[in-house]
Amino acid sequence: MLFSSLEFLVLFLPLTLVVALALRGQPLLRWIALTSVIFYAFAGHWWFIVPMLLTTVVDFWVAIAIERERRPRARRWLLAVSLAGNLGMLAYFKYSGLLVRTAEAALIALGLEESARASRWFEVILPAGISFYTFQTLSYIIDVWRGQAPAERNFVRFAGFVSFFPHLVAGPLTRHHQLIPQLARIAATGITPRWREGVLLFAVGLCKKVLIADRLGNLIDPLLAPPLALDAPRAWLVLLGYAFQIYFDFSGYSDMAIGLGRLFGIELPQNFNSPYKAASPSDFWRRWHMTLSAWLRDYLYITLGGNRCSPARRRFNLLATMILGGLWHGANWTFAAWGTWHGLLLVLHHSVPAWERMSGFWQRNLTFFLVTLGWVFFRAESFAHAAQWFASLAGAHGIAAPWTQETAALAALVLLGLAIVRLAPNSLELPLSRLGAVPQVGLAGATAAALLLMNYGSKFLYFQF
Amino acid sequence: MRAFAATVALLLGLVLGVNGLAAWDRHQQEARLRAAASRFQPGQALLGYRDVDERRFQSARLAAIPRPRIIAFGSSRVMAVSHVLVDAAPGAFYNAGMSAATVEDFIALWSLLERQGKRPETVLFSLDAWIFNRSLDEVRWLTWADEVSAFLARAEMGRALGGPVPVLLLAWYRGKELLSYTVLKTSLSDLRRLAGGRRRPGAEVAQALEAALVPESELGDRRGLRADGSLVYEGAYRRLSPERTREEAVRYVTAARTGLETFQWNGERASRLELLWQEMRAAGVRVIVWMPPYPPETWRLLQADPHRAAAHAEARRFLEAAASRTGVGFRDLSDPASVGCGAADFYDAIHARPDCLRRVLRSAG
Repeated sequence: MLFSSLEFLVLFLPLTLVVALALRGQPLLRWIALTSVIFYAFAGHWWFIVPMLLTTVVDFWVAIAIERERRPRARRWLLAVSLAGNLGMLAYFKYSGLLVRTAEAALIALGLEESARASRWFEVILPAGISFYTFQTLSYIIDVWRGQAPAERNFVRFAGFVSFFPHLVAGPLTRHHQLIPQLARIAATGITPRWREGVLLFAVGLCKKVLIADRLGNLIDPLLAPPLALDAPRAWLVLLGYAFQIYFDFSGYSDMAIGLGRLFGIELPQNFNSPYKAASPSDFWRRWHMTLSAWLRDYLYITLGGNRCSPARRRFNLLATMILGGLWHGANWTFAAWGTWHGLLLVLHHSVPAWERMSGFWQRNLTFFLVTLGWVFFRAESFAHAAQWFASLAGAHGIAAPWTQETAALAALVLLGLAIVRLAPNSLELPLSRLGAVPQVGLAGATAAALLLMNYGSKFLYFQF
Repeated sequence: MRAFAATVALLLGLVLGVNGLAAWDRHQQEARLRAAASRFQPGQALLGYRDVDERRFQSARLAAIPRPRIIAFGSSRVMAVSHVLVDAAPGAFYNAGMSAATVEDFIALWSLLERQGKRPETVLFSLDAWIFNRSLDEVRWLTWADEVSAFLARAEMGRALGGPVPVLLLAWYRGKELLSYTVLKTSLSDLRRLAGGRRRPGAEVAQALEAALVPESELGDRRGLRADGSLVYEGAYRRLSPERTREEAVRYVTAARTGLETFQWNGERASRLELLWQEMRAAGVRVIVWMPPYPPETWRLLQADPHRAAAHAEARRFLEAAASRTGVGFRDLSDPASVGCGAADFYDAIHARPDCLRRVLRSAG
């Protein structure tokens, strides 16, 4: 079920919220967990709930066992059980396809087509959002093991933490200390919805997703179909369009998720802070998908040694973190290339003092340019596809663009996107609690248009991760 | 917050009102059409048959004709197939082909036949790859969106759940359409037409059925539709030379009219087609499917363009797989050489003449 669907907005959300408002204590938490599971069952295949429930049950008991256990060796074994379970499931569902495709390519290269065909038996469907809830429970288990968090003893509350539907499928990646205490609070006091901030933020997110991201997607996708051979101006226009599509799509989803959380009296963490205003690659990662960046920093980068090591080791840590972060986004080597690109940008930024001597204007624009260039790897279906795109950007297919209606529409949307990301405050900076009548009417008009158009949109891009 | 909520409610209320009013007016018009369609008898031909709302026409005709043993579904590329070409007696075959027919049209046709107790023994499908192109904003089928909704409500979920679920789902699907941008566009255009004093959509169909029926033998060089739904092209069109056909082919491809430009796979539509075949097969209906042949020049140009060729191949792969899953006979006859059709066997860049269609029917089984 998508946030931008009438089934969600007219049936699921009102019913869930009305009943939740009438409940307190365990029944409220049970209701939240139950409706979240129902929401997830409609996110693709009903069986998606099976791995999620398995993760919930296993990690709930493993955390309690770790807390009770005093012997370090036994605690390590328990941690290993959880890590193996979580990462094993993630590896199976998410990366077996990549391994199979890689093996297939190798077998074909060796002239073993028959064996390559047989490898397709191992292909599996990726449950939506598995990367998000797996990382959430991993951080919980690791914190309990480190002694930085108590094990949750209330199973329903823990299930609510893992499955709370606003953040379940595409984040924000919410940590236990950000959500479990809030679930405990609403169970004790009942839900106090923040109607105004919740509804209006949801509306802003819906408009970003449907009116900008989906429109961009409809224009860009046909042009990006491989084999890609665009003239340079359109190749650049498409690249900028994609940079804005992914931003408005994902940040729109995050806005909707945070808005929904507020309707349940819960504040989910901020996920985007005007990333295209970033003044350096490091700054970009403090503003883009902030909850994932923080997770990677806390559980991967620092675990590898972080900054407290030699410069060479630090560079290695940065690269390794970003490559793994890239692969988290999808089972394709192009995502590893995207991660590598960002790893190199971070290393470059830390190693080149000249960066800090540039004016803010140049820092922001150079960062935007480099980040945008990296989206080629993120969007390309293969390295061959990426190479075609880069060749088009370099003018290999001409530099004169035919000015069609579609090109004009794309250029207009790109300009609109550019104006918003560079000049407007981000959604969470908007004064939603004291928005005047005129802006409200404007937002309402855009929301009505989005509601009419949303049946024709694509799925959220980050559902695949 | 009040200003926001009131504005959203007001705007959506307006949309609901416009769509509701247009839907009511359409129902009034359909009753008149059904009465007119019952006058069209075997041996007669409907003159012209151009610029009419074919969905409304077919809906009215299906209510008027006896149960056909064989029925043909497809775009204008199947419309020249007559009862003679399928070796059926008059009345045993009906051609429900329509310009730019798509999966939802087939669903609606099937639903109408089912509802009226006219389930055929065999359904022929002539399918074009473009029906799976999501980037084509094809809205003509929305004329009978109700039928499509009813089918989906029953077939997708209703059967599994039973009870009042199909009825509720249907109500839900219908309600959703009242809040759809595409339906709003159609409704506004209908209402603008009414407000401007112009004819209602479908009025031309009723008028034609009331005034343009002639004996088939008197058709001569004129264009017309036979009572079995097959189309007779006008004499000037029939006499076009193969050279003109080749020119048409080049124009068709270079002017980007193939429907395969900016191709994006429409998975939803593909699933619906497979669902329809499952329903037909479960009802014991024989289903025969083919991708119709292009003239040699059109086919060569389509295959020379990697994007269009890939789109065609993607559609073929799906049709092969879905046909195999549902027990449906499928042949890709897009390459005219596969059925022995040459440049002279086509009227224009896509439409085959009866001799070629006869070979297609033989190959498809």
